[in-house]
Amino acid sequence: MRFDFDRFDFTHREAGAHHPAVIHAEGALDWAWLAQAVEDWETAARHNGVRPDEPVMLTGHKEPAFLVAMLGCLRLGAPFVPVDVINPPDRITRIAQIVSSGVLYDAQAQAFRALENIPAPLAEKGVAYIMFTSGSTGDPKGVQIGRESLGLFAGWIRDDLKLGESPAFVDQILFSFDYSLFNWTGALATGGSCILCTRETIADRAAFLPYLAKAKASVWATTPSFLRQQFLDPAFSQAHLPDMKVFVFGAESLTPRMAETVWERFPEVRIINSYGPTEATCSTTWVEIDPELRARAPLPFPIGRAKPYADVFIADEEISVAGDHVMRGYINRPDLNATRMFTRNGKRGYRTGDVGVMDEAGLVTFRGRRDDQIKLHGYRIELAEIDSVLATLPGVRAGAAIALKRPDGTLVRIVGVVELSGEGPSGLLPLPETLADWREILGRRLPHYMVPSELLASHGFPLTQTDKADRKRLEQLYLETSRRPKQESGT
Amino acid sequence: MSRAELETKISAIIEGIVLTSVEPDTLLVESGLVDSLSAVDVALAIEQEFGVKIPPSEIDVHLESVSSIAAFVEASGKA
Repeated sequence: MRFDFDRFDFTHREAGAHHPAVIHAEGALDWAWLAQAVEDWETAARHNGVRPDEPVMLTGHKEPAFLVAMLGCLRLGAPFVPVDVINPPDRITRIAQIVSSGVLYDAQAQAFRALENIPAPLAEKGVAYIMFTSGSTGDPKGVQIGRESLGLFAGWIRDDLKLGESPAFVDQILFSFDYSLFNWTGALATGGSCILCTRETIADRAAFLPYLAKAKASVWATTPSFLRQQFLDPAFSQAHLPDMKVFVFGAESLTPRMAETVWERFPEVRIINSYGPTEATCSTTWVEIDPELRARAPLPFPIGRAKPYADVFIADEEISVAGDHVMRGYINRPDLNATRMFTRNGKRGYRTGDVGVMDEAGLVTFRGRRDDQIKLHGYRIELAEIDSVLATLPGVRAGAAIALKRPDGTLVRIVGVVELSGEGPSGLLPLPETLADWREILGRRLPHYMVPSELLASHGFPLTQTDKADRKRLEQLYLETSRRPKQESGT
Repeated sequence: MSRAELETKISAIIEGIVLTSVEPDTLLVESGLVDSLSAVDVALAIEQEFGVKIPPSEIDVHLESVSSIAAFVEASGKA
Protein backbone atom coordinates (compact mmCIF):
# COMPACT_ATOMS: atom_id res chain seq x y z
CA MET A 1 0.00 0.00 0.00
CA ARG A 2 1.10 3.57 -0.45
CA PHE A 3 -0.35 7.08 -0.33
CA ASP A 4 -0.90 8.79 -3.66
CA PHE A 5 -0.18 12.51 -3.28
CA ASP A 6 -1.78 13.31 -6.64
CA ARG A 7 -5.17 11.87 -5.71
CA PHE A 8 -4.69 12.15 -1.94
CA ASP A 9 -5.75 8.64 -1.15
CA PHE A 10 -4.34 5.25 -0.29
CA THR A 11 -3.66 3.09 -3.29
CA HIS A 12 -2.57 -0.50 -4.04
CA ARG A 13 -4.39 -1.39 -0.84
CA GLU A 14 -4.00 -5.14 -1.23
CA ALA A 15 -0.19 -5.14 -1.22
CA GLY A 16 1.84 -4.91 1.97
CA ALA A 17 -1.07 -4.05 4.24
CA HIS A 18 0.89 -5.49 7.15
CA HIS A 19 4.17 -3.85 6.30
CA PRO A 20 5.06 -1.17 8.88
CA ALA A 21 3.95 2.31 7.79
CA VAL A 22 4.69 4.27 10.94
CA ILE A 23 7.25 3.36 13.57
CA HIS A 24 7.30 5.11 16.91
CA ALA A 25 8.69 4.52 20.37
CA GLU A 26 5.85 2.17 21.26
CA GLY A 27 6.16 -0.05 18.23
CA ALA A 28 5.25 -0.38 14.56
CA LEU A 29 1.89 0.48 13.00
CA ASP A 30 1.11 -1.17 9.69
CA TRP A 31 -0.44 0.26 6.54
CA ALA A 32 -3.85 -1.27 7.26
CA TRP A 33 -3.82 0.48 10.65
CA LEU A 34 -2.81 3.78 9.05
CA ALA A 35 -5.58 3.70 6.41
CA GLN A 36 -8.17 2.90 9.09
CA ALA A 37 -6.83 5.54 11.51
CA VAL A 38 -7.03 8.19 8.81
CA GLU A 39 -10.64 7.27 8.03
CA ASP A 40 -11.58 7.40 11.70
CA TRP A 41 -9.84 10.75 12.08
CA GLU A 42 -11.80 12.16 9.15
CA THR A 43 -15.09 11.10 10.70
CA ALA A 44 -14.18 12.80 13.96
CA ALA A 45 -12.87 15.85 12.12
CA ARG A 46 -16.15 16.31 10.22
CA HIS A 47 -18.05 16.18 13.51
CA ASN A 48 -15.76 18.88 14.82
CA GLY A 49 -16.39 21.26 11.96
CA VAL A 50 -13.40 20.54 9.72
CA ARG A 51 -14.36 21.62 6.19
CA PRO A 52 -12.63 21.91 2.81
CA ASP A 53 -10.55 25.08 2.33
CA GLU A 54 -10.81 26.07 6.01
CA PRO A 55 -7.44 25.86 7.78
CA VAL A 56 -7.05 23.38 10.65
CA MET A 57 -4.38 23.94 13.30
CA LEU A 58 -2.43 20.77 14.10
CA THR A 59 -0.24 20.78 17.20
CA GLY A 60 1.97 18.14 18.74
CA HIS A 61 5.42 16.65 18.41
CA LYS A 62 6.12 13.77 16.04
CA GLU A 63 3.21 11.57 17.16
CA PRO A 64 1.64 9.01 14.79
CA ALA A 65 -1.61 10.94 15.42
CA PHE A 66 -0.01 14.06 13.91
CA LEU A 67 0.78 12.14 10.74
CA VAL A 68 -2.72 10.66 10.65
CA ALA A 69 -4.22 14.15 10.98
CA MET A 70 -2.13 15.55 8.11
CA LEU A 71 -3.26 12.73 5.83
CA GLY A 72 -6.85 13.17 6.98
CA CYS A 73 -6.70 16.87 6.15
CA LEU A 74 -5.29 16.09 2.71
CA ARG A 75 -8.13 13.64 2.03
CA LEU A 76 -10.75 16.09 3.28
CA GLY A 77 -9.28 19.03 1.39
CA ALA A 78 -8.80 21.01 4.58
CA PRO A 79 -5.51 22.97 4.62
CA PHE A 80 -3.46 21.94 7.65
CA VAL A 81 -1.27 24.28 9.65
CA PRO A 82 1.33 22.12 11.45
CA VAL A 83 2.80 23.70 14.57
CA ASP A 84 5.17 21.80 16.82
CA VAL A 85 4.80 22.44 20.54
CA ILE A 86 8.35 23.84 20.46
CA ASN A 87 6.42 27.05 19.67
CA PRO A 88 5.22 28.96 22.73
CA PRO A 89 1.40 29.05 23.16
CA ASP A 90 1.25 32.78 22.31
CA ARG A 91 2.82 32.11 18.94
CA ILE A 92 0.42 29.24 18.25
CA THR A 93 -2.54 31.49 19.10
CA ARG A 94 -1.20 34.22 16.83
CA ILE A 95 -0.75 31.77 13.94
CA ALA A 96 -4.34 30.53 14.39
CA GLN A 97 -5.52 34.17 14.22
CA ILE A 98 -3.55 34.86 11.07
CA VAL A 99 -5.15 31.90 9.26
CA SER A 100 -8.61 32.44 10.88
CA SER A 101 -8.74 28.84 12.02
CA GLY A 102 -11.77 27.78 14.04
CA VAL A 103 -10.50 24.37 15.03
CA LEU A 104 -7.34 22.88 16.46
CA TYR A 105 -6.39 19.22 16.64
CA ASP A 106 -4.03 18.40 19.49
CA ALA A 107 -2.13 15.26 18.44
CA GLN A 108 -0.75 14.79 21.95
CA ALA A 109 -4.21 14.69 23.54
CA GLN A 110 -5.75 13.22 20.36
CA ALA A 111 -8.57 15.73 20.75
CA PHE A 112 -10.16 18.57 18.81
CA ARG A 113 -10.59 21.99 20.34
CA ALA A 114 -12.72 24.86 19.08
CA LEU A 115 -10.83 28.15 18.72
CA GLU A 116 -12.17 31.64 19.26
CA ASN A 117 -11.50 32.78 15.71
CA ILE A 118 -14.39 32.94 13.29
CA PRO A 119 -13.54 30.26 10.73
CA ALA A 120 -13.35 31.42 7.15
CA PRO A 121 -12.43 29.62 3.95
CA LEU A 122 -9.14 30.72 2.40
CA ALA A 123 -9.24 33.01 -0.59
CA GLU A 124 -6.94 30.46 -2.27
CA LYS A 125 -8.74 27.20 -3.05
CA GLY A 126 -7.09 23.79 -2.94
CA VAL A 127 -4.34 24.67 -0.48
CA ALA A 128 -2.65 21.57 0.97
CA TYR A 129 -0.99 23.22 3.95
CA ILE A 130 0.22 26.49 5.39
CA MET A 131 3.63 26.54 7.03
CA PHE A 132 4.92 29.46 9.04
CA THR A 133 8.41 30.83 8.81
CA SER A 134 10.07 33.68 10.64
CA GLY A 135 8.83 37.07 9.42
CA SER A 136 10.70 40.33 9.56
CA THR A 137 7.72 42.34 10.82
CA GLY A 138 7.58 40.42 14.08
CA ASP A 139 4.74 38.19 12.93
CA PRO A 140 5.61 34.82 11.41
CA LYS A 141 4.52 34.57 7.78
CA GLY A 142 2.32 31.80 6.42
CA VAL A 143 3.36 30.07 3.21
CA GLN A 144 0.38 28.57 1.35
CA ILE A 145 1.27 25.49 -0.68
CA GLY A 146 -1.26 24.17 -3.18
CA ARG A 147 -2.29 20.53 -3.51
CA GLU A 148 -0.69 20.33 -6.97
CA SER A 149 2.69 21.25 -5.49
CA LEU A 150 2.73 18.47 -2.92
CA GLY A 151 1.97 15.88 -5.61
CA LEU A 152 4.97 17.04 -7.65
CA PHE A 153 7.25 16.90 -4.63
CA ALA A 154 6.20 13.42 -3.52
CA GLY A 155 6.37 12.16 -7.12
CA TRP A 156 9.98 13.30 -7.38
CA ILE A 157 10.99 11.27 -4.30
CA ARG A 158 9.08 8.24 -5.57
CA ASP A 159 10.25 8.34 -9.19
CA ASP A 160 13.59 10.12 -9.37
CA LEU A 161 15.59 9.19 -6.29
CA LYS A 162 15.67 5.41 -6.86
CA LEU A 163 15.39 4.50 -3.21
CA GLY A 164 14.48 0.85 -3.78
CA GLU A 165 11.67 -1.23 -2.31
CA SER A 166 10.02 -0.05 0.91
CA PRO A 167 12.60 2.45 2.12
CA ALA A 168 12.50 3.33 5.82
CA PHE A 169 12.85 7.10 6.39
CA VAL A 170 14.23 8.54 9.61
CA ASP A 171 11.84 11.35 10.45
CA GLN A 172 13.28 13.64 13.12
CA ILE A 173 12.51 17.10 11.72
CA LEU A 174 9.62 18.93 13.37
CA PHE A 175 6.41 18.86 11.31
CA SER A 176 6.27 22.66 11.41
CA PHE A 177 9.37 22.84 9.20
CA ASP A 178 8.74 22.00 5.59
CA TYR A 179 11.95 20.01 5.37
CA SER A 180 10.10 17.35 7.38
CA LEU A 181 7.97 16.71 4.29
CA PHE A 182 10.86 14.88 2.72
CA ASN A 183 10.79 12.01 5.19
CA TRP A 184 7.08 11.55 5.78
CA THR A 185 5.80 12.13 2.27
CA GLY A 186 8.75 10.10 0.97
CA ALA A 187 7.89 7.18 3.22
CA LEU A 188 4.19 7.27 2.40
CA ALA A 189 4.56 7.88 -1.35
CA THR A 190 6.92 4.92 -1.75
CA GLY A 191 4.97 2.50 0.43
CA GLY A 192 7.86 2.42 2.87
CA SER A 193 7.92 3.28 6.54
CA CYS A 194 8.27 6.48 8.47
CA ILE A 195 10.40 6.20 11.62
CA LEU A 196 9.19 8.96 13.94
CA CYS A 197 11.88 10.30 16.26
CA THR A 198 10.80 12.48 19.14
CA ARG A 199 13.13 14.69 21.14
CA GLU A 200 13.04 12.07 23.90
CA THR A 201 13.94 9.25 21.50
CA ILE A 202 16.91 11.23 20.18
CA ALA A 203 18.08 12.31 23.64
CA ASP A 204 18.19 8.72 24.90
CA ARG A 205 21.51 8.07 23.21
CA ALA A 206 21.88 4.47 24.30
CA ALA A 207 18.51 3.57 22.78
CA PHE A 208 18.44 5.78 19.68
CA LEU A 209 20.73 3.72 17.44
CA PRO A 210 19.15 0.36 18.27
CA TYR A 211 15.75 1.99 17.61
CA LEU A 212 16.82 3.08 14.13
CA ALA A 213 18.55 -0.23 13.42
CA LYS A 214 15.51 -2.27 14.42
CA ALA A 215 13.34 -0.14 12.13
CA LYS A 216 15.82 -0.85 9.30
CA ALA A 217 16.47 2.85 8.69
CA SER A 218 17.63 3.32 5.11
CA VAL A 219 16.96 6.93 4.09
CA TRP A 220 17.53 10.02 6.17
CA ALA A 221 16.94 13.60 5.11
CA THR A 222 18.44 15.88 7.73
CA THR A 223 20.72 18.84 8.30
CA PRO A 224 24.51 18.61 8.48
CA SER A 225 24.22 20.16 11.97
CA PHE A 226 22.00 17.40 13.27
CA LEU A 227 24.09 14.60 11.85
CA ARG A 228 27.29 16.14 13.19
CA GLN A 229 25.88 15.77 16.70
CA GLN A 230 25.26 12.07 16.07
CA PHE A 231 28.87 11.56 15.02
CA LEU A 232 30.02 12.19 18.59
CA ASP A 233 28.84 8.66 19.20
CA PRO A 234 31.53 6.36 17.75
CA ALA A 235 28.89 3.66 17.24
CA PHE A 236 27.03 5.87 14.77
CA SER A 237 28.19 3.90 11.74
CA GLN A 238 27.29 1.40 9.06
CA ALA A 239 28.13 -1.44 11.46
CA HIS A 240 25.25 -0.39 13.71
CA LEU A 241 22.91 0.89 11.00
CA PRO A 242 23.51 -1.73 8.29
CA ASP A 243 20.45 -0.75 6.23
CA MET A 244 21.43 2.91 5.73
CA LYS A 245 21.59 3.69 2.02
CA VAL A 246 20.97 7.38 1.43
CA PHE A 247 21.62 10.58 3.34
CA VAL A 248 19.91 13.66 1.98
CA PHE A 249 21.18 17.01 3.22
CA GLY A 250 19.41 20.33 3.14
CA ALA A 251 18.74 23.60 4.98
CA GLU A 252 22.46 24.30 5.34
CA SER A 253 25.58 24.22 3.21
CA LEU A 254 27.14 20.79 2.75
CA THR A 255 30.92 20.80 2.94
CA PRO A 256 33.32 18.17 1.56
CA ARG A 257 34.55 17.64 5.11
CA MET A 258 31.06 16.74 6.30
CA ALA A 259 30.53 14.38 3.37
CA GLU A 260 33.86 12.65 4.01
CA THR A 261 32.96 12.21 7.67
CA VAL A 262 29.74 10.53 6.57
CA TRP A 263 31.62 8.21 4.21
CA GLU A 264 34.17 7.35 6.89
CA ARG A 265 31.34 5.97 9.01
CA PHE A 266 29.09 4.79 6.18
CA PRO A 267 31.36 3.88 3.27
CA GLU A 268 28.55 2.55 1.05
CA VAL A 269 25.92 5.30 1.33
CA ARG A 270 24.77 7.71 -1.34
CA ILE A 271 24.86 11.38 -0.40
CA ILE A 272 22.39 13.80 -1.97
CA ASN A 273 22.41 17.53 -1.45
CA SER A 274 19.17 19.41 -1.93
CA TYR A 275 18.00 23.00 -1.65
CA GLY A 276 14.81 24.94 -1.71
CA PRO A 277 12.86 27.54 0.24
CA THR A 278 9.65 26.66 2.09
CA GLU A 279 7.97 28.91 -0.50
CA ALA A 280 8.66 26.27 -3.16
CA THR A 281 7.59 23.03 -1.45
CA CYS A 282 10.64 21.86 0.43
CA SER A 283 13.13 21.37 -2.35
CA THR A 284 13.78 22.80 -5.78
CA THR A 285 17.28 21.64 -6.75
CA TRP A 286 19.24 18.49 -6.04
CA VAL A 287 22.51 16.79 -6.83
CA GLU A 288 24.04 13.48 -5.90
CA ILE A 289 27.63 13.79 -4.69
CA ASP A 290 29.05 11.45 -7.33
CA PRO A 291 32.72 10.40 -7.61
CA GLU A 292 33.50 13.34 -9.91
CA LEU A 293 32.00 15.92 -7.54
CA ARG A 294 33.57 14.19 -4.58
CA ALA A 295 37.00 14.37 -6.17
CA ARG A 296 36.54 18.02 -7.11
CA ALA A 297 35.38 18.80 -3.52
CA PRO A 298 34.20 22.40 -3.97
CA LEU A 299 33.56 24.33 -0.73
CA PRO A 300 30.66 24.19 -0.30
CA PHE A 301 29.15 21.56 -2.57
CA PRO A 302 26.67 22.93 -5.12
CA ILE A 303 23.00 22.80 -4.14
CA GLY A 304 22.21 21.06 -7.40
CA ARG A 305 20.28 21.41 -10.60
CA ALA A 306 16.61 22.24 -11.08
CA LYS A 307 14.24 19.32 -10.54
CA PRO A 308 12.23 18.22 -13.59
CA TYR A 309 9.24 20.39 -12.68
CA ALA A 310 11.24 23.44 -11.56
CA ASP A 311 12.59 26.38 -13.49
CA VAL A 312 15.63 27.85 -11.73
CA PHE A 313 17.55 30.91 -12.87
CA ILE A 314 19.76 33.63 -11.47
CA ALA A 315 18.38 37.14 -11.82
CA ASP A 316 20.57 39.98 -10.59
CA GLU A 317 22.64 37.45 -8.56
CA GLU A 318 19.49 36.14 -6.84
CA ILE A 319 18.34 32.52 -7.06
CA SER A 320 14.84 32.63 -8.52
CA VAL A 321 12.46 29.73 -9.00
CA ALA A 322 9.29 29.17 -10.98
CA GLY A 323 6.92 26.24 -11.45
CA ASP A 324 3.80 24.61 -10.10
CA HIS A 325 5.65 23.87 -6.87
CA VAL A 326 5.92 27.56 -5.99
CA MET A 327 3.56 28.72 -3.22
CA ARG A 328 0.19 30.32 -3.87
CA GLY A 329 1.41 33.23 -1.79
CA TYR A 330 1.88 34.32 1.82
CA ILE A 331 -1.45 34.44 3.58
CA ASN A 332 -2.73 38.01 4.04
CA ARG A 333 0.53 39.58 2.90
CA PRO A 334 -0.21 41.22 -0.48
CA ASP A 335 2.76 43.53 0.14
CA LEU A 336 5.21 40.63 0.24
CA ASN A 337 3.48 38.73 -2.56
CA ALA A 338 3.82 41.79 -4.78
CA THR A 339 7.58 42.04 -4.24
CA ARG A 340 8.62 38.40 -3.86
CA MET A 341 6.40 36.70 -6.45
CA PHE A 342 6.29 36.95 -10.24
CA THR A 343 5.01 35.03 -13.26
CA ARG A 344 7.28 33.36 -15.77
CA ASN A 345 6.03 31.36 -18.76
CA GLY A 346 2.64 31.22 -17.14
CA LYS A 347 3.97 29.70 -13.89
CA ARG A 348 4.20 31.14 -10.40
CA GLY A 349 7.66 32.40 -9.52
CA TYR A 350 9.46 33.33 -6.29
CA ARG A 351 12.57 35.38 -5.62
CA THR A 352 14.37 33.52 -2.86
CA GLY A 353 16.58 36.28 -1.48
CA ASP A 354 19.45 33.76 -1.72
CA VAL A 355 22.48 34.79 -3.71
CA GLY A 356 23.84 32.15 -6.07
CA VAL A 357 25.78 31.34 -9.18
CA MET A 358 24.98 28.81 -11.88
CA ASP A 359 27.61 27.06 -14.00
CA GLU A 360 27.19 26.10 -17.67
CA ALA A 361 25.91 22.65 -16.64
CA GLY A 362 23.11 24.25 -14.60
CA LEU A 363 24.67 23.45 -11.22
CA VAL A 364 23.83 26.15 -8.70
CA THR A 365 26.05 27.15 -5.78
CA PHE A 366 24.67 29.08 -2.83
CA ARG A 367 26.59 32.24 -1.88
CA GLY A 368 24.68 33.76 1.01
CA ARG A 369 21.69 36.03 1.68
CA ARG A 370 20.73 39.45 0.40
CA ASP A 371 18.98 40.42 3.64
CA ASP A 372 18.96 39.78 7.37
CA GLN A 373 17.61 36.26 7.14
CA ILE A 374 19.98 33.72 8.68
CA LYS A 375 20.16 29.96 9.04
CA LEU A 376 21.33 28.90 12.47
CA HIS A 377 21.85 25.13 12.70
CA GLY A 378 19.34 24.82 9.85
CA TYR A 379 16.69 27.02 11.47
CA ARG A 380 15.52 29.86 9.25
CA ILE A 381 15.39 33.08 11.22
CA GLU A 382 14.66 36.70 10.33
CA LEU A 383 16.81 38.79 12.66
CA ALA A 384 14.22 41.57 12.32
CA GLU A 385 11.60 39.33 13.96
CA ILE A 386 13.86 39.03 17.00
CA ASP A 387 14.47 42.81 16.93
CA SER A 388 10.77 43.52 17.14
CA VAL A 389 10.26 41.15 20.06
CA LEU A 390 13.28 42.59 21.89
CA ALA A 391 11.68 46.01 21.53
CA THR A 392 8.70 44.83 23.60
CA LEU A 393 10.87 44.31 26.71
CA PRO A 394 10.15 46.81 29.50
CA GLY A 395 12.18 50.03 29.45
CA VAL A 396 13.51 49.25 26.00
CA ARG A 397 13.32 51.55 23.00
CA ALA A 398 14.57 49.23 20.28
CA GLY A 399 16.25 45.88 19.78
CA ALA A 400 18.83 44.47 17.42
CA ALA A 401 19.89 40.87 17.02
CA ILE A 402 23.28 39.95 15.65
CA ALA A 403 24.45 36.58 14.41
CA LEU A 404 28.02 35.85 15.49
CA LYS A 405 30.19 34.23 12.85
CA ARG A 406 33.43 32.34 13.25
CA PRO A 407 36.28 33.24 10.91
CA ASP A 408 35.29 30.31 8.64
CA GLY A 409 31.81 31.80 8.23
CA THR A 410 29.81 29.38 10.38
CA LEU A 411 27.18 31.03 12.52
CA VAL A 412 27.64 30.29 16.18
CA ARG A 413 24.86 32.00 18.07
CA ILE A 414 22.63 35.03 18.28
CA VAL A 415 23.36 37.94 20.59
CA GLY A 416 20.66 40.50 21.32
CA VAL A 417 21.25 44.15 22.10
CA VAL A 418 18.56 46.44 23.49
CA GLU A 419 18.58 50.20 23.40
CA LEU A 420 17.50 51.46 26.80
CA SER A 421 15.23 54.46 27.26
CA GLY A 422 17.10 57.36 28.78
CA GLU A 423 20.71 58.52 28.78
CA GLY A 424 23.79 56.56 29.70
CA PRO A 425 27.36 55.63 28.81
CA SER A 426 28.18 54.45 25.32
CA GLY A 427 29.23 50.95 24.31
CA LEU A 428 27.72 47.58 25.22
CA LEU A 429 26.69 47.29 28.83
CA PRO A 430 25.38 44.58 31.12
CA LEU A 431 21.60 44.51 31.45
CA PRO A 432 19.87 46.50 34.17
CA GLU A 433 18.24 44.50 37.00
CA THR A 434 14.80 45.28 35.61
CA LEU A 435 15.49 42.99 32.66
CA ALA A 436 16.66 40.02 34.72
CA ASP A 437 13.80 37.86 33.42
CA TRP A 438 14.37 38.66 29.73
CA ARG A 439 14.81 35.04 28.75
CA GLU A 440 11.45 34.08 30.19
CA ILE A 441 9.69 37.01 28.50
CA LEU A 442 11.20 36.27 25.10
CA GLY A 443 10.47 32.55 25.52
CA ARG A 444 6.77 33.35 25.63
CA ARG A 445 6.94 34.91 22.17
CA LEU A 446 9.71 33.08 20.36
CA PRO A 447 10.66 29.43 19.83
CA HIS A 448 13.84 28.62 21.77
CA TYR A 449 16.08 28.63 18.71
CA MET A 450 15.24 32.32 18.16
CA VAL A 451 15.91 33.44 21.73
CA PRO A 452 19.36 35.13 21.83
CA SER A 453 22.09 33.31 23.75
CA GLU A 454 23.03 36.55 25.48
CA LEU A 455 21.47 39.99 25.87
CA LEU A 456 23.31 43.26 26.33
CA ALA A 457 22.22 46.86 26.74
CA SER A 458 23.24 50.06 25.00
CA HIS A 459 22.26 53.70 24.83
CA GLY A 460 22.00 54.17 21.09
CA PHE A 461 22.86 51.77 18.26
CA PRO A 462 25.37 52.51 15.54
CA LEU A 463 23.21 53.25 12.49
CA THR A 464 23.47 52.43 8.80
CA GLN A 465 23.04 55.13 6.15
CA THR A 466 19.34 54.31 6.09
CA ASP A 467 19.09 54.79 9.86
CA LYS A 468 18.68 51.14 10.72
CA ALA A 469 20.67 49.45 13.46
CA ASP A 470 24.02 48.57 11.90
CA ARG A 471 24.34 44.86 12.68
CA LYS A 472 27.87 44.61 11.27
CA ARG A 473 29.18 47.36 13.51
CA LEU A 474 27.31 45.98 16.51
CA GLU A 475 28.93 42.61 15.86
CA GLN A 476 32.39 44.22 15.69
CA LEU A 477 31.69 46.15 18.86
CA TYR A 478 30.60 42.94 20.57
CA LEU A 479 33.68 41.01 19.49
CA GLU A 480 36.00 43.86 20.50
CA THR A 481 34.55 44.13 23.99
CA SER A 482 33.65 40.54 24.78
CA ARG A 483 36.99 38.89 24.15
CA ARG A 484 39.79 39.35 26.58
CA PRO A 485 43.14 40.54 25.17
CA LYS A 486 45.33 37.66 24.03
CA GLN A 487 47.55 36.33 26.82
CA GLU A 488 50.69 34.29 26.57
CA SER A 489 49.71 30.68 26.82
CA GLY A 490 51.00 29.01 29.98
CA THR A 491 52.51 26.03 28.19
CA MET B 1 50.08 21.39 34.03
CA SER B 2 48.62 23.17 37.05
CA ARG B 3 44.86 23.46 37.46
CA ALA B 4 45.05 27.21 36.73
CA GLU B 5 47.04 26.60 33.55
CA LEU B 6 44.59 23.93 32.49
CA GLU B 7 41.66 26.28 33.04
CA THR B 8 43.37 29.04 31.07
CA LYS B 9 43.89 26.67 28.19
CA ILE B 10 40.29 25.42 28.26
CA SER B 11 38.97 29.00 28.52
CA ALA B 12 40.88 29.87 25.37
CA ILE B 13 39.36 26.89 23.54
CA ILE B 14 35.85 27.88 24.64
CA GLU B 15 36.47 31.51 23.70
CA GLY B 16 37.41 30.44 20.18
CA ILE B 17 34.15 28.54 19.89
CA VAL B 18 31.57 30.86 21.50
CA LEU B 19 33.42 34.11 20.70
CA THR B 20 33.37 35.58 24.17
CA SER B 21 35.61 35.36 27.23
CA VAL B 22 34.53 33.00 29.98
CA GLU B 23 35.55 32.64 33.60
CA PRO B 24 36.22 29.22 35.14
CA ASP B 25 32.79 29.25 36.79
CA THR B 26 30.75 30.78 33.93
CA LEU B 27 27.84 28.45 33.28
CA LEU B 28 28.28 27.44 29.67
CA VAL B 29 25.22 25.39 28.77
CA GLU B 30 22.81 26.89 31.28
CA SER B 31 23.66 30.47 30.28
CA GLY B 32 22.95 29.70 26.65
CA LEU B 33 26.51 30.38 25.49
CA VAL B 34 27.05 26.77 24.50
CA ASP B 35 24.16 25.14 22.63
CA SER B 36 23.92 21.55 21.50
CA LEU B 37 25.92 22.27 18.37
CA SER B 38 28.75 24.23 19.99
CA ALA B 39 28.84 21.47 22.60
CA VAL B 40 29.91 19.15 19.80
CA ASP B 41 32.67 21.58 18.85
CA VAL B 42 33.80 21.88 22.47
CA ALA B 43 33.85 18.10 22.94
CA LEU B 44 35.86 17.62 19.74
CA ALA B 45 38.29 20.41 20.63
CA ILE B 46 38.86 18.96 24.11
CA GLU B 47 39.44 15.55 22.59
CA GLN B 48 41.93 16.98 20.12
CA GLU B 49 43.81 19.05 22.69
CA PHE B 50 43.93 16.61 25.62
CA GLY B 51 43.18 13.24 24.03
CA VAL B 52 40.17 12.61 26.26
CA LYS B 53 36.80 11.66 24.91
CA ILE B 54 33.73 13.00 26.69
CA PRO B 55 31.02 10.34 26.41
CA PRO B 56 28.09 11.81 24.40
CA SER B 57 25.62 11.05 27.19
CA GLU B 58 27.73 12.98 29.74
CA ILE B 59 28.31 16.11 27.70
CA ASP B 60 25.85 18.29 29.60
CA VAL B 61 27.41 17.31 32.93
CA HIS B 62 31.05 17.88 32.01
CA LEU B 63 30.42 20.97 29.91
CA GLU B 64 28.79 22.86 32.75
CA SER B 65 31.76 25.22 33.08
CA VAL B 66 35.45 25.55 32.31
CA SER B 67 36.20 24.30 35.77
CA SER B 68 34.07 21.16 35.34
CA ILE B 69 35.80 20.42 32.04
CA ALA B 70 39.17 20.86 33.77
CA ALA B 71 38.08 18.44 36.48
CA PHE B 72 37.10 15.89 33.83
CA VAL B 73 40.41 16.24 32.00
CA GLU B 74 42.34 15.92 35.28
CA ALA B 75 40.35 12.88 36.32
CA SER B 76 41.21 11.27 33.01
CA GLY B 77 44.87 11.70 33.92
CA LYS B 78 45.68 13.61 30.74
CA ALA B 79 46.48 16.98 32.23
